[in-house]
Formats: sequence, structure tokens, C-alpha cells
Amino acid sequence: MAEKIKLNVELKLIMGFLFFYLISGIVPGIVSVFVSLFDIGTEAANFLVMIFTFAASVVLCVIVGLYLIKWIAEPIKKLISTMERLLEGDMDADPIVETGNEIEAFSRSLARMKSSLMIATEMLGPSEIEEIGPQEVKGFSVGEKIIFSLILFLILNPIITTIPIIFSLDLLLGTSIASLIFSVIMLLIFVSYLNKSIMKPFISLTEVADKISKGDFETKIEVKSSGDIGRLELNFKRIADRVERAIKEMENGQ
Amino acid sequence: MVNDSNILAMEDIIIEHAGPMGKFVIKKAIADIDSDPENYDRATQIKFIDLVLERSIFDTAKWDSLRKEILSAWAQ
Repeated sequence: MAEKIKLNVELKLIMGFLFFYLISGIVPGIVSVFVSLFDIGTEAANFLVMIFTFAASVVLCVIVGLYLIKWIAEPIKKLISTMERLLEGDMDADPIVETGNEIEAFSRSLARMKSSLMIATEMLGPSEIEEIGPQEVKGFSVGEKIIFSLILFLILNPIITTIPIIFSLDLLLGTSIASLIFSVIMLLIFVSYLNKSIMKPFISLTEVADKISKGDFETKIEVKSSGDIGRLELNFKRIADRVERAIKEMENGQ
Repeated sequence: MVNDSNILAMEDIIIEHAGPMGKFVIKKAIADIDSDPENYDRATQIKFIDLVLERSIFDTAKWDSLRKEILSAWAQ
């Protein structure tokens, strides 16, 4: 099943922002070409370019935001909720999320751990599995991080992409290219931020979870992230710990 | 007869669906049958597979395909 998962989350993230930035980088150029057809004066033209660029950024922010929330934030939220239900003993919780990326790969590891928890419960009974003390992970959720980033883009992007136009409205091709270059720089900054704060720790957790769910208890999960990824790390660690202790208990009982 | 490599092949298949407890379920099934797997006849082989599936795979709809997958791995 894992071989089928080809389009990774990081790629989706980059595609989403690339789409956003390419379009928003092109908009000032297109609008400035359009307004140059009318004799409305430089100030009015610059104002129109800013307004249209901002409007395009709002629309694109909503599209990219919905896309990222649907494919990244919501599935991660569902996984956290499923893990909490499993830890409370609700074995009806379905861990599988079909996103076709690492989130799905992680959900399959979680499904294996759920089966192992069920086997442990069948063989030992629920009371024989020790509880780990409560521990909370604070920080922003993935959805919040995406929304904050997009709001920041919304504020910065129209300003940055229209700077070249304000200073040289007559050089239409040049200003469009300059806008695109600024957009690409912004893209690299924000993708690297989201990559570092969300995707890298998640991908690393997915790899560890895969090993543990196949019985490699030498591999340990470190709860080192904040927010949703930290919650996933903590909950998976709790589940893994339960399963590992159940195995030891049964081996000792043999 | 069921040899060590058959057991390993079975472990891979069961762990893929049931996680790390799958290995233990197989060990327990061997202990419960109380006979060396090398001496399993065809009927005992099927009994062994079914015992493992019953204890590790809670979705009964998967049993038939997994039984076939295990037997096919053993036949190789």
C-alpha cells in the first residue's frame, strides 16, 4: 500500500504556494498593461494595480488556504482525534485517512497499532494495560499555522509585488519579472517556514511510526514538536508504549 | 509442513495488518496447537492460519484474501 503513495505532502504544499505566487506575481503585470491602455495618470494606475493585486491575493489566499486545510490540516486533526479516542479505549475509531500522501502512510501505521491494541485488550483485558500520565503539548495547530501564514502573505504579497510597478510603470515586462522574482523569494521563505514547522517533523514521525508499527521498538519517538505535530508524537508514543508493555507482559506470562 | 521461512512470510503479512502484536499472536497460536510446525499436515496448516487470523484480524472480510496470500507465500 505504501508504494502507491507517491504525491507527498511537501510537494502539495509547494504546488499550492507556487500556484499562489505565480498568479499573484503575474497579476500586477497584467493589470498594469490593462491600465496603461487608458490615460488615467500614474497615481490612479498604481492605485488600481494595488487594488487588483490585493483582490487577487485575497481570492488566491482563500483557494490555497482551503486546499491546504483540506489536504493537510483536517486529516491531521482527524488523526489526533482518532488517537485520543483509541487511548480512551474507543476501538471503533477509524484511523485511515485517504489523502494519498504521508498522512495516509501515517494513518496506516496507526491502523496497525490499533489492531495491536485490540489484540492486547482481547488477550489481557483493558485493565491490564497501564496508563501513562497525562502530558500536554501546547502550540498552534497546523490549520492555525497555515491561516497565519496566509494572512501574512495577504499583507506582504501585494506590497512586495507592486513595488517594482510603483517605481517604473513604463517598464511593463521588467516590472512583471521583478514582481515574479519577489514572489519566488517570498515563496521560498514561507514554504521553508511551513516545511520546517510542519512537514519535516511530520515526515520524520511517519518514518518512525512505520518502523514501530512493524515491531521495531528499538526506535523511539521523541516528543519535540509543538502544536498538532507534538500532539501526534505524544499520542503515538503513548499507543506504542501500551503495545510494547502488552507484548512484554505476554512474553513474561508465557 | 511449515518451516521457519514460512513463519517469517506469515509474520510479514500479519504485521502489515495487525501491527507488532501479530508476531506474538503467531507464537501463541504455535504454542496452542502444541506441535512442531514442521509436522503440520494440510489440515493443521489451515487451522493454524485460521487461528492466527481470528486472533489478529478483526475485519473478517479480510480473512479469505489473507488466507490465500499466506498460502501463496508458503507455496513459493
